[in-house]
Amino acid sequence: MHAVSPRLPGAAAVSMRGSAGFAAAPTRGSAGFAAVSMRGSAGFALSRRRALAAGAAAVVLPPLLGACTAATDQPGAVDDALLAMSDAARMDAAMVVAAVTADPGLAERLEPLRAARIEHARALDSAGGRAPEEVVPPATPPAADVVAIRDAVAASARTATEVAGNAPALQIGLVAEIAACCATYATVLA
Amino acid sequence: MTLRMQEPDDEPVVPAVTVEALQRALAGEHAALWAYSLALAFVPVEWARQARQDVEAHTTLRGQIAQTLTEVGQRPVSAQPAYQAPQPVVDAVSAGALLVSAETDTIAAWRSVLERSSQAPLREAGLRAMTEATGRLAYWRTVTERSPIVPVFPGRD
Repeated sequence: MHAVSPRLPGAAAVSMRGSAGFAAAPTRGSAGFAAVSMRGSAGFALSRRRALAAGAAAVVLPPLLGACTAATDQPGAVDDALLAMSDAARMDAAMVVAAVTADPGLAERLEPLRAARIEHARALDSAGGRAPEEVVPPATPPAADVVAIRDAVAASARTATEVAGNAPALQIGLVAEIAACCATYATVLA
Repeated sequence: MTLRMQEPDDEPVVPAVTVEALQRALAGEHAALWAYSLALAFVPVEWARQARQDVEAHTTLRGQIAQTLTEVGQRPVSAQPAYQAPQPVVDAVSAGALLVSAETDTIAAWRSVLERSSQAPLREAGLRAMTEATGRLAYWRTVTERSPIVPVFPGRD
């Protein structure tokens, strides 16, 4: 599925990494913008005064210029966080199984969530360096209903959001996708 | 790699890769707004209510990215004069499908921003944008009867 793309021949080509993207037809391999010239190639400094003035105005993106660097330099800690997320994903899936066993009428509503959480767990295992044969099945979950499952998946979204703050570039996309998926399930199940 | 320009005092710097990712996110917001403007001509009243809310959200994001780029001395990329829908839009369902595409693309663009920024506040903003877009995507997937309603990995095809 390719999405909306600029129609004019020779229009600035925007090639998105990965999937869809607004790829213009004649990209000739180069990612990036014809329209945007990157002066130099380095970074762009902003005076502190301007940054402060800007901070008041821009609402969502602004403190972009905070000096702190998020990415952690401790791969072990990142792997642990990813594997903990994986365990939580399998527990969420087990809760769905318990809920559907108790009330088969919930199956249609909850099965997609179960399937998603199992896929999340697999992807997180892979990212965190855990082989399939090392996977330990989750403990038997307590009796669960839709509310308990919604709370669990909301907690998983919060955890993913926290992990995303410190994740290296290689893993942050996966973590963010899982955060967005879980947060949306929490809303859909409300 | 982040280089620092010569400045009198030691100022924070936005790496070029982050700026490029923000420009792509902005291009995505332009395209999404075009998609909604087209879809609105075809969708029934109850979908249109949602579509107008979504237009507001995209308009806000577009303004915020543009402002952020301006503040770091970059000219925000403009909307294209014309766009092409991946599939012809001829009725409500195909209009909804266009919006599924548009939201999927904006999620991918924001993911790219996350992958190319190390500043915590920008990552937070990007993740918030991804999550909100996934919520909108879930609506359009619901009304166009796609399954699952919430993609396992939002932003991927």
